[in-house]
This record gives sequence, C-alpha cells and structure tokens, in this order.
Amino acid sequence: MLIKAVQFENFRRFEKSEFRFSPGYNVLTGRNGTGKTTVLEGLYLLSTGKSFVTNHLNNCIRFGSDYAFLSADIALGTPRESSNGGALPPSEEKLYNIRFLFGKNKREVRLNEKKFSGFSPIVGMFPVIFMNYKLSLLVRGGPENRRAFLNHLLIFTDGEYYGLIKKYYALLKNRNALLKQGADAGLLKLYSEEISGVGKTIQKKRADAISALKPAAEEMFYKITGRAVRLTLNYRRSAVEKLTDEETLRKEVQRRRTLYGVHLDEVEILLNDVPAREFSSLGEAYSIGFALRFAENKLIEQVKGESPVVLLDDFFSDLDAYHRKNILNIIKNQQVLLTALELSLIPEGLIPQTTVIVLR
Amino acid sequence: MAGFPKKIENLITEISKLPGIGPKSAERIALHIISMDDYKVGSLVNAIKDARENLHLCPICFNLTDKEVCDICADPKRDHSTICVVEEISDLYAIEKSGEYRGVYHVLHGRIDPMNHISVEDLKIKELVERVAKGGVKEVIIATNPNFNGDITSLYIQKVLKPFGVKISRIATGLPKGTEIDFVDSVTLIMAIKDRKEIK
Repeated sequence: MLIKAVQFENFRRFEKSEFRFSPGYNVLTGRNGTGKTTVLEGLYLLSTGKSFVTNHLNNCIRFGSDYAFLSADIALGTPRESSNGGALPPSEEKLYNIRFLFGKNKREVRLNEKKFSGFSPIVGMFPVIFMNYKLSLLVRGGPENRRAFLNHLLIFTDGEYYGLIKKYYALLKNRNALLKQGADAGLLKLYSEEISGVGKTIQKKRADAISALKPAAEEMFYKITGRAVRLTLNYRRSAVEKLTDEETLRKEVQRRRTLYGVHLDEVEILLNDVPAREFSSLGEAYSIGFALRFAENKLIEQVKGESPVVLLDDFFSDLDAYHRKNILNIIKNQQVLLTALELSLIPEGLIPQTTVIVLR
Repeated sequence: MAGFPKKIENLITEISKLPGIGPKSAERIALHIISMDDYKVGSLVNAIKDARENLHLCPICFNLTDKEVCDICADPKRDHSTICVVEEISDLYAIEKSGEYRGVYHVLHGRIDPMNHISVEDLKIKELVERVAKGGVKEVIIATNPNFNGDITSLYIQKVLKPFGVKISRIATGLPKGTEIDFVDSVTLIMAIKDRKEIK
C-alpha cells in the first residue's frame, strides 16, 4: 500500500494543508507543536476510523470550526520488492480516495465518491501500523493494550472480525444495561446466548492469531536485537461459555455486570520463560513491542498481499544506532512515515533515500 | 439585531420538535402559518385535533385507525393466516406501498433496546403471542429492521413463538438493487452469500 497524498481541513492545527508522500522513507520534521504527530493521527484515523490520541473525535476539530475534513489518495497493489530481495511480479495498481467529514451532528465517509454512514465498510482495507513511545505499554501495561493489539491485527487479516467485535461490544453494553435494570429472565438469557456465541468465534480467531504471531515475533526479535530468545505468548481467555450458566447469571445479577468474556481476555508474554509484564526492563519491553508490531506487519503482508504503511512517531530519540539500523532494515521495502524533531536526528546514510517534509 | 417576537419564537420551537424539521424549516413554517387566512389555520387545527381525538390503535394489529378495527384487519380478501411483524406504523405503510404483501400485520411500537430502557413489556409482544395462541395463524414474517436491536427483537420473538409450531420467517438481508459488489461491506456480502437463493 502507498499513501500518495493527504489533505486536512480544520483538523487540529491544520486549517487547510496538503502533504504528498513518496514510496520508501518519508520524514516529517519540525519544531514542537507544528503538527507532525497530527499527520500520522489523520492517516491512522482514515485507516481504522479511530484516533490514537482521543476517544472523542470532535476534539480533533480545529478550535472554532464546526467540522473537520480529511482526504487521502491511496494506492493498493503497488509493485514492491519482496523481503528476500527478489522482485515480486508487478500487480495492477488500484487507486482509492477516502474522505471523512465529521462534526457535531454529522459523520460522512466516502470511498471513491461512494457515501457511507460509517467506517465499517472501509476498516480493514488500508492497513497501517503505528508506533510511538507508548509501545512499551504493549508489554508492561494492562491487558487492554494487548487486546487492542490483537484487534488491530485481526481487523486487517480477517474480513469478519471487525463486524464481530463491534457486535460483541454492542451486546456487552446492552447486557450490562439489562443486568443493572434487573430485566426479564428470558431476554437476559437471549443476550447471554448471543454474546457467548459471538465471543466463542472471536476467541477462536484470537487463538489462531496468537499461534501465528509467536514464530514471527521470535524472528523479528532476533532481527532487531541480534539475540535469539524464546518468546512465549500464553492466551489467557476469559471463559465466554460460562455466560450461559445459571450460576454465572445469578452472580452477575448481584454484581450488575458481565463477568466473563472477550473484553477480559489477556495475553501473557514470557521472555525466556520470565513474565515480561512484571520483569522486563524498559529496553526489553520496547524490543518485544517492536517484535510484536513487526510480526503483525509480516502477518498482514502474508494474508493481504499488501504491505502496511508504517507510522513511527518520534522514532529516533529513544533508540540507539544499532537498534535503529536493524528496525529500518526490516521495513526498508515498504512505505514508512517517520516524525523527527530535527533533521540532525536522521542517520546520515538514510538522507539520500528519504523524502523530507518540513512543517512550520 | 432584533429577534422574533416571543409568541413566534414559541411557535418555531414547537414546530422544530417535529421529526425531520430543522430550525430553518421551522422558521419558514411558523411564519407561513402566521400569514395564513383564519379559516385555513382553523382547518389545520381541526385536522390535528380530529386526528388526535378520533384515531386509536387497532385492537388486533395496533395499526392506527378511526374505526373499531383497522381497514387491513377488516378486509376479508387479505390472508389472515400470515402476520408480518414490524417495528413502527411507518414500516407497515412502507410495505403496503410496495403492493406485494397480502397478509395482515402486527405493529410492535418499538424494538428491544436496553440502552434506552425499552424492554419486552414496553412492546406489543405479549399481544402477538396471544394472537398466535388463538390459532388460525400459519406463518409469522418478522420484518423488524436488520440492525442490532431489530435482530435481537427478531430473535426474541422467534423464541417466544416457537412452542406454537407456526412457520416463522425473517425478511432477507442482502444486496440492494443496482449496486456494485465491489463497494458492498463485507458483513452484507457474507449475509448475501449465506442466504443465497437457488435460481428456479
């Protein structure tokens, strides 16, 4: 995949701006507060329908305006080099234009001029992978970080997944509302059967994704650090099947919320048999985080036949030259958008093959 | 800048509460009403009053009617053994306009929606069960909306009607006419393929 250009109108600090990108490395540079991260946020938003900064999209609207507008030109099926050096057969390039307009009472998504009321039909088509300083939370933060990681991987590798997870959370909200209202036992049973059915399908898909991730993550860890390690990913699923038990229901009515399910799943990560959440150093956590993200990158590429666009926010400041070089090597055959405070942070050797975009 | 006099302001506020009318249209309608002849305003007011006072729900299907039983339920030429279940009266008329359906209806007056505190007892589901229990019904077609709450409502009705052994069907979900498959979302496509029909 190739992002050719993006336009913003009233999106955060951009009143009206356009950026054009090249294949390969693109570096966005500029002082604090010039909108480097906002460019990545906008692209992430067009890919997933979500912002990585806020859950309230209306906060992204430029102060004083009543709407924001984003538009991107994207090519899929772009000919590219395969990672082992041989050129893949060139496929036909297909161009897409996504537009997203949102404001207080409206929300409109267009794909090639066709109007949709939401992102559902588009999510999954244009894969991006985003990383910033919060990457260590994927390893050392709460389980919600790892669930979000699995969801992100699966919406790009499984056409059914996004619909399922949306349905699951809608069922969960409604079921919790019923538990609070102390409603009709028959109705509660119906929601329980539905949520447990959807939950089982999601957990099957998550389990498969985790088994595929493990070898890919070990390979990436080695490529990044030069260290061969044993990475174990233990899927600790929360028993959705218990949701249809009479006893569970009794407990849930008392506690007034759903006590099992996909929303409570956890993935335990072990580095050489040691739990990484509690015992990894910050450096190790970053390395595992990168390994997982690039494993995801690889799986998406395998399933979709399309390389995700890699968005790296402030990537140069925390890593030493060795790790930086290894990481850039892994993604050298796909489009990469990086932000950097100053041009001096970019390794000299990289500059000739890089498009530099200066924000003011 | 001078605003409208208070009395017009009130009228605009009331009109803009109606569905499908924004503040601009409400303003236009309000100003139009003020400039109308007295007798025309009188007949508008009477029409509203008459409709409010003389319309009630049909005791069989819960459609609106000014008679004891609604025209559809009273029509002997219609198939009274087939009941089409809809969420709202507007859905009933949408199906009627298509002219294809010759059975009778049952209006639920809403859908199961726990987030908005709408539960089974707020809908005409008990009445539907009683209707089926009386006998004479061969098929119930559930035409609630194919969205999250409509689907749940449909599932619930299927469950409560199951003991009666009548045929229960759900309206089909699939591709809209005149569309391009390329642009249909994957959920709808999966449904369309799962519920495909043999060509006879």
